Amino acid sequence: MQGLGLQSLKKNPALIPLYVCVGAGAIGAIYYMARLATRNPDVTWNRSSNPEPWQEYKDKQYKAPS
Amino acid sequence: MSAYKLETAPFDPRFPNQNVTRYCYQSYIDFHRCQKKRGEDFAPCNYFQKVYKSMCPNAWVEKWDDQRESGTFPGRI
Repeated sequence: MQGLGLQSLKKNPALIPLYVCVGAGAIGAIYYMARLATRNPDVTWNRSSNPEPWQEYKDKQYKAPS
Repeated sequence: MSAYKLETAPFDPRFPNQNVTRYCYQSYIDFHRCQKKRGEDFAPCNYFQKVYKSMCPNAWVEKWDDQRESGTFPGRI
């Protein structure tokens, strides 16, 4: 298909904003999923070593405007 | 007309989201653990009671109270 290779992209430069927007959306989605997976007070990766993950937030904030 | 002081449970950074289920459950458990450890008349335990009475649906509180009485409450108190 045209636009999937670097050569055809040079011939159809109007596709570049599309790549930028879709890329930004994908990066945003992956970043937020990773933040939720690692930082969310309700998520634990190891139930035996971290049974109550929310206790970690007793003295610190999870959300910036809180 | 007497002035009512309306207030609810304070913000707890451990539970920052809209879903306060865990805040409710944690406070319920903390209150009963506090009572078990310090006795029924220990006043500072009442903070937890104030929180769970605000956060928990009354139906849940009744269900858990019944479970505790019959010995089937699933949490560790």
